[in-house]
Amino acid sequence: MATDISADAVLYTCNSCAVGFPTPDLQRRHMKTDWHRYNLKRRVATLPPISAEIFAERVLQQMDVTRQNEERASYQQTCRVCGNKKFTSAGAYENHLSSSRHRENAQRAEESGRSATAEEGAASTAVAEPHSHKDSLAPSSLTLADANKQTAFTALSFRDTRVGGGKKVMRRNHTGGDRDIDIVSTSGSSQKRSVRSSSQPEASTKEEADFDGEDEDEDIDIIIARKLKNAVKLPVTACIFCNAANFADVAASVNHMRKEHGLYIPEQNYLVDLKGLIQYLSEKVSIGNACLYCAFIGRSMNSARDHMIAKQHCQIPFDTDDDRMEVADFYDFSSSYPEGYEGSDAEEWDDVSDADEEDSKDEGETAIATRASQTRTESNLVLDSTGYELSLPMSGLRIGHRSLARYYRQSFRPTLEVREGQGTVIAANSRPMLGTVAYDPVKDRSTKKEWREQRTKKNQDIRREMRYINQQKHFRDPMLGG
Amino acid sequence: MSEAQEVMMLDNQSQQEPDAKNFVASVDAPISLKYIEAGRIAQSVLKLLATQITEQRLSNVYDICRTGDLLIEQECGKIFKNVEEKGVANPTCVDVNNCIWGYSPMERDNAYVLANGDVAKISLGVHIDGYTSLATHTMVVLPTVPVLEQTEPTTGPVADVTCATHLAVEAVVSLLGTVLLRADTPSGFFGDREVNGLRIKEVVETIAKSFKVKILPGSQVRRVKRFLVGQETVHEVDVKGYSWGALSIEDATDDPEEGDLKKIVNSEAAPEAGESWVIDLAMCSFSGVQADLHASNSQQISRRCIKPHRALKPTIFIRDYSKSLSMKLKSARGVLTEIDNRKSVFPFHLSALETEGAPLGVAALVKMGILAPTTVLTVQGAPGTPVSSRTRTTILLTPSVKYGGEVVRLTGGDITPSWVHSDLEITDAEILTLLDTKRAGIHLRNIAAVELSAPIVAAAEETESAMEVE
Repeated sequence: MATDISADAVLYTCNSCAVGFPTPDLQRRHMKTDWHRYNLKRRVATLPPISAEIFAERVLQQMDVTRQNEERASYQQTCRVCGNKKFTSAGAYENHLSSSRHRENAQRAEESGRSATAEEGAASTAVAEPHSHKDSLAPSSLTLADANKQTAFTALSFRDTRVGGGKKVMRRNHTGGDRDIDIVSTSGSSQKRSVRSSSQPEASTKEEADFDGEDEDEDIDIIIARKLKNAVKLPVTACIFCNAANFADVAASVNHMRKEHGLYIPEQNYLVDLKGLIQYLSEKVSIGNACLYCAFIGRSMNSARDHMIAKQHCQIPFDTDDDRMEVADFYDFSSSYPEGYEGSDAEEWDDVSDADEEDSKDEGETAIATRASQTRTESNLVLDSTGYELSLPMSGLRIGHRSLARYYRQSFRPTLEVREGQGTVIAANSRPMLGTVAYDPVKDRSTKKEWREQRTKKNQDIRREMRYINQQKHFRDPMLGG
Repeated sequence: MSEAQEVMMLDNQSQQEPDAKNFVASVDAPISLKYIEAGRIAQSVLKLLATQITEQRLSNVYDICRTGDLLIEQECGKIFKNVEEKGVANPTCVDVNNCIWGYSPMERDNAYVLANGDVAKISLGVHIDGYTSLATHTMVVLPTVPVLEQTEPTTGPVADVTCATHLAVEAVVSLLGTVLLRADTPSGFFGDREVNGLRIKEVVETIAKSFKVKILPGSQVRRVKRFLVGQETVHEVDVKGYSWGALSIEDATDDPEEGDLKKIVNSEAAPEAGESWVIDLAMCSFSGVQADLHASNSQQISRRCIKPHRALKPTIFIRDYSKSLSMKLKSARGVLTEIDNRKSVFPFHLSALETEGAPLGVAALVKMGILAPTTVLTVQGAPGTPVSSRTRTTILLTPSVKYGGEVVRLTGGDITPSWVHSDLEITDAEILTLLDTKRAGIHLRNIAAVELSAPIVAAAEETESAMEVE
């Protein structure tokens, strides 16, 4: 019986927690405890169970962490100099204070003579200024420029020097190009993710998770700053795609990339700034970690390089307008323009590009149209009111926009010009016009039925004839006659 | 009374205003000028051709037809420069003896050459801006050498049929002219009886009876309008006049109810001042076989006797504007475009088309019914081949304040008929009044022919042949 009792004693156990119970009631109660649940999860993860004491300690630890997070979440700081920007984390606020934007603003606020310190910030009026306006319109490259004046790598800086030199260059109408936009948009989306997570403060353990949703520029600044910090600085004389470096000059490195990686530089006749182009591309890879050809963004420069080599993306895209506009700064197509364009000077182009920047529209065609309207006084090019058609001065030809090509390609039948005689005759004729006979479904059905019946009868006849095709009893050789 | 008449006439004009393009207000009206110019050209060309045939300068039918067409185009090009639609309204045809309609050959080599004693019917038509003058003249080809001067008239059935046709046309002209006479005119002829299609029929058939000839189907006396002169493909309704049946062979039946012009010709309506009329009468000698006659009209030849010529293919076509189909054949499309853009609503000769491969295209269009061919028709009686004659004239019934009105005879007035003598004569007193020198008191103005320059085609042909000889 004793054995029975002992067997009875171990009858109620919990395998997950490695404990036994004398009564079923206790066992049931145990099953409802957090400890048991925790051990169940551990068991699923093939971890050994922990004892009740250790579990209690962990619970206490966890409660401490939660409390700290809550404290951090309640943090709030405002920068008045930069338009009452709010910061919910100490890290972000410190980052902001060290940013060039803030320093500039603070300096300007001091210069304007208003009694202002960065922290107290009575100078809330020093906010609205063209600079920030510009930033919001052309976020990527301008902020790049601002954040990294000392590196001076952006396309913008090249362009500025070129304009200053009085050269006439084809402009891209949205600064940055779509690769830069890609960087911004992906970082923007990650930032959005972080915004979402920051609304649940206890979960936000990531470093970068503490950005304020209202201040995208600051966030981008931070991302770019971090990327720059981590970036490998690629010299112009290094290969973009592999570790080969220390070429004698740009031409040598380009030659290497052409031979080894198949990099083709399009429209070389009009290329005016090879060095700038290569530098732009290498920064795109080293800093942006972006693929040259597709929208891929790697975690590091090496991942971008691996991607490009594996996918054979070692090439400069030049197919669409956007692609061309991206690298347009390094080209000068003015020698290919028709005569009419010669008269327009660099100043005017400046104006146009400024207008374009303000527009910051994505369509290249709009920019073209604007340019045409600007120059029409000089070359007699006349753009019609819709902006989709251009008349050439010499030949009188009309150029339509390519987006309407499908309509221009239509060839209509010329309408029959009914002359007086024909009109008279047609009007006087009492016979019905042949073309105006209405479709009669009933008649059509009956006609089809008739055809079907005819076909059926023909088939029947054929089958009937087939039956009598060979009725002769004995074989007769037709060669022998009879 | 005269004032009342004047007012009535003015009223008439105002009433006609919607149809102003078909109302000839006076002899000097712009419409009459176009009609008269068209008539002058038609008349001049016809007279020139007749003279050339008489003088033996033209004998090949191909030459005659092409000369006629060329002259018409040439003359039309000189006048009314701002009028776009003008030219040939009826390609020149020469139908000989029992041939009654539509012979205008394509090639010179196989074309008929006029011979001694042939009865040749030359038909042509000119239109300017749709105002059309049609003409047909019947002439007996004179014996050739040794003398050009005719010493004695032609006699026999040829003379009978030629006389009958000529006199019937003259009588109908006078009859239509009486419409313009005032009630107080001394002649007073037919004043008590209304002139209408049935009266015209009566007069024509009386004359035919007197000369013992029969009227051919296709004969008609009808009012014509601008662009509408009784084309085969146009079925007008309510046309004033009288018709002895349509010529188209598709509905070769004597039944007047079936595909006949009779159902759309209004024989009861009276002609009025300001209208233009075409008198187109064709008759043929009758061999006396009853089967040749029309079922219900003993003065008319049955349609059964009208047969298409066995060897001759149609060369004259007319566009049927009630049909429009898109053609598969390239030449057919080209021909159709050319016809729609450059030809008018009148018949045209195949040689007038400039599109490459025109005959092929025309054949395709005919098959689809877009073009209607003018079949070369012959009349064939039971015992022998009858001789047919045809005369066609266009007149204007112009109102005039001064003396009621004036008949302007656009074509056929200024041409001498061949010298024929028939033993038969007209006995009907009324018709004799119509045919005497007073013409029942009507005022008749004949449009005179003018001298035209020498024909071009014949000259070209001659030089060509001369070169070949060399």
